[in-house]
Amino acid sequence: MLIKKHQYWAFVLPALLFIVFIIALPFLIGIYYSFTDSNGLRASFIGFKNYQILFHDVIFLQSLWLTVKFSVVSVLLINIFGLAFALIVTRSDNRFNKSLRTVFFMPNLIGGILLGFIWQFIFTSAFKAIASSLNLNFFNGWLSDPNTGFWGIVILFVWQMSGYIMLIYVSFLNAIPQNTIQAARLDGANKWQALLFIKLPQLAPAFTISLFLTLANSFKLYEQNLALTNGGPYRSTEMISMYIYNTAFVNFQQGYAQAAGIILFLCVTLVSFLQLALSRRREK
Amino acid sequence: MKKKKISKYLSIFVFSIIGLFWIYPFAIVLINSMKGKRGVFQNPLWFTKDFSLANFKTAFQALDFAHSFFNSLLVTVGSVLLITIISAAAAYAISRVKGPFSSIIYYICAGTMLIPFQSIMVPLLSLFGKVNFLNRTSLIIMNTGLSVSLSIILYYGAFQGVSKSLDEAAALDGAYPLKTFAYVIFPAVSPMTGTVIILNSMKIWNDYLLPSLVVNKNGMYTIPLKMYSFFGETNSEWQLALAGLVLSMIPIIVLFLLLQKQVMTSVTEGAIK
Amino acid sequence: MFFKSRKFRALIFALILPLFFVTGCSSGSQQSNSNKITLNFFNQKPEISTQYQKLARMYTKKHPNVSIQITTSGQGGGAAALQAKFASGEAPDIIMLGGLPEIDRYKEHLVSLKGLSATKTILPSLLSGGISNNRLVGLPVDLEAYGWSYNKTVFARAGVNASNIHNYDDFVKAVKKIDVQKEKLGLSGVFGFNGADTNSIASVSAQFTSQAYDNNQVKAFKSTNFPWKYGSQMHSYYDLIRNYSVQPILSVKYDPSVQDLFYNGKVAMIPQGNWIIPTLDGIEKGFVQKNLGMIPFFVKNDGSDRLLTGSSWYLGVTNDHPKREKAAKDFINWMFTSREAENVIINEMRFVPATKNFDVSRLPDDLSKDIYRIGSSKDARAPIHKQYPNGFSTQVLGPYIQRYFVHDISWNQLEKVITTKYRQLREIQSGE
Repeated sequence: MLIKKHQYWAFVLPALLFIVFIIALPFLIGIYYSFTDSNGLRASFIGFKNYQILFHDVIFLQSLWLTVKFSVVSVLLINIFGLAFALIVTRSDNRFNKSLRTVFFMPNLIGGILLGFIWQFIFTSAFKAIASSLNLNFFNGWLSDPNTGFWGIVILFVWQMSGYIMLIYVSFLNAIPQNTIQAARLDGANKWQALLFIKLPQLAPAFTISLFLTLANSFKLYEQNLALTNGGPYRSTEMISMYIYNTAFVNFQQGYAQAAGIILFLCVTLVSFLQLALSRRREK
Repeated sequence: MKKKKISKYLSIFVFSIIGLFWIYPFAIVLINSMKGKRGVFQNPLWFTKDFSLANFKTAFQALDFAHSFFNSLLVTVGSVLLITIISAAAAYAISRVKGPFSSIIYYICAGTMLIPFQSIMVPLLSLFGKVNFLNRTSLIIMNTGLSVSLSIILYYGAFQGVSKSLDEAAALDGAYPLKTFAYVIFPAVSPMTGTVIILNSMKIWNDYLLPSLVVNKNGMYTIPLKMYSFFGETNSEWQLALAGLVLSMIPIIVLFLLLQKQVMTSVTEGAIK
Repeated sequence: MFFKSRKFRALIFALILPLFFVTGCSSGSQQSNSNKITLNFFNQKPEISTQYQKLARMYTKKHPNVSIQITTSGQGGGAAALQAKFASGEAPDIIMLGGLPEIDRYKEHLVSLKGLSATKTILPSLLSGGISNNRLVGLPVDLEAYGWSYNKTVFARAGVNASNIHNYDDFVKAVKKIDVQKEKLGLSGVFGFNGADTNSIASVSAQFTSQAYDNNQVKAFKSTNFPWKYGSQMHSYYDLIRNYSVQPILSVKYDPSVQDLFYNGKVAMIPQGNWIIPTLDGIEKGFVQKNLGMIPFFVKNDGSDRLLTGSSWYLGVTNDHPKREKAAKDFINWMFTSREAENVIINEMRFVPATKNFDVSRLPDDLSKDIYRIGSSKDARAPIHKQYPNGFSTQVLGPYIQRYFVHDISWNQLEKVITTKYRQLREIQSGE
């Protein structure tokens, strides 16, 4: 053995301490908090009461449902856009490949707060200008309506994430050996058939990865939500993370907020295990 | 043949339109940041006559930009430095010493990655609040704790790919493990170090939620924090808010354009591994 | 490979360098001066921060060893910023607190203000808003009136005389009379209700909830029930607002409602109090004296309805820095009792003072004089919306009334959800 025992711990301990104190310990304390009526200053044990109230809390259920709806819609759209972009930028006959890749990826660099403000400007001012010049009421007041407000966040998120997912698809597309495609083309398959029967099956693992990444990100979405709609109008676009934040730091119902946090954790875990099971089954 | 050529130009044309469309939100922000209030109101979609760069000066001062930039840089560099060193060391040890401890640590890392920040935010804040430790240093510490798990897993994969014969050769030369690690093994995985640095820098530089809870006070504002409060103060003076947005985006976009290829590789690698 | 290249190392080096630079700097800048005292004043009203700065300078001139550092945080971020200050061990010496829920959060940090010369001057009807655990720990910042602000010119052009409005029916008649002349008068609506702001929705609701507690703010704070006694009148008023306000009602915000709609005479009334005075006179000197009047909400509708008068904000002194406690109290005494401070407060902040036996003639406009007369009379009644549980106004009442405004829920559903949520929040927050 090259590394002695005490040396091993010297290498490992710093990381372990960080994980324990920043994640594991708060997580365990958090589980306890969720069974108390903590308001940040005082707390007493109240059993499962927080969870019972949560499942009758209209606003919580609504924000949870909104988050699920948001996740499904944006996962679909992001993957469609991501794949389409990946196919565009891997075409051999396109000399703008590189710059297009940069363009598509660019929104992913910017933080959620800035993105939210950019789109707030577009949905309020730019859309208003479009509405009045085209005389189309469709473009008015996007952020003051629950329905269009929801789509506003979806559009923002698709704009942010598609370039990222594109990169994943690109790396899998590049890994497909050129000669399989050429062989298929020689056998008489046209472009679309080659895409459908050769490329797409090879992209299955990329799809699983992208699915998981987008799902996890959309469940945790907060900053975009805050900067774009701040939950408005009347908390109708408030997603689960914002619900937890407001409950904990505006209402000071910290035990209650923590119970919602634990439910969020369970959702994310469930999604991850589904993904794991899915990719395991495919490997067999 | 002619038909093929036409379709080629057509597709290039279509793709360029899509690209322009995709980048238009950036353009619209830039355009309107160089106007007066009037122009934004008249036609937010394109340039108007009242071109001026005065907004940038106002926004620069209001954002206390040099200071906020410095705070962002300090927090990002500090956190990333700590994350890189700590996670590389841990990953090296668990990749070289196989045993129950190593696998437990690996699974701890994988497990903690499942925990969303929102599920630990309340207790984490109250823990640090109780000991009066909420400042830039504690922000760096929290960032580190929240990022080491993923970084360890990334590094673990990279160290697996480095042959153990390198370690052995170094040991024969009389080097201690620390020396072997620092001078032989760590340099051998520098592409992964690049990935770890880039992934974490992007995340920490752009973060708003955690800094808003930890360093939301005078003198410690990072760029996203300051931008958020500045936005609240601009009161429908869009041209100022947009100038602030442009300023806030410049650093990361410039850095990206310089390191484009590396950033894209790193991002892909971080997702796939 | 780029990551192995020299360029990359140079970049890393360039990024790390400032780190050492700053750690060196920040440890070097500690200063201490033995007998000089710096008081930290946490202000939650951004609109008067410059006037507070002025008061601070005036005070330092008279007391050269005391300087006052004012930190301002507002527009909803105040509560969180204050929490952060206490959490990070930088508790301010003087804090402005909004309502008993906030006072209650910090009660262990607040010292009793009983016996202060400032305390003795305060209008008795306002004192209960600063009492926590039977100790007086907060003094009201000013006297504010809550009701409808109306534009006298618009009323006159519409042929409506405010002094003839004595009950709800009169009020509705006036509204309808103005409404039919909307086009002629160039109005966008009778009311300019800022439906986007949950805080304004909450302050209007106080018109219908304040009667239940006999002017006792502590009682209001302890109550676990949202008082529905005047619920039907509340319903009528919100319907009136929904029908006669500038649309879309949820996109009207506070600033434009005052500075554009009201000031430019595009609406006849807005549900705001005398806190709009400095803004209006700031746009046009003399506007207030010429154009601004107020009408109460008719809730009991028996001739006893007046403008509600109270204070949203209370000043407290903390015990975190015992050495500065006395200096903080002295400063507060000076603010409430000295004539020079009073002059700044009434003429520059445009506040109506919350003190007894004030000479009304010193106030710069008639509306302020009326407000002082009402607020210092025996039947003065203070609004209690600041005693709603933390988050109730912005997270429950506001959003649900907004839903009601856009016909998303019925009034019955609204009553139900408000009752349960009010109780829930109160119970969780009062957990000892």
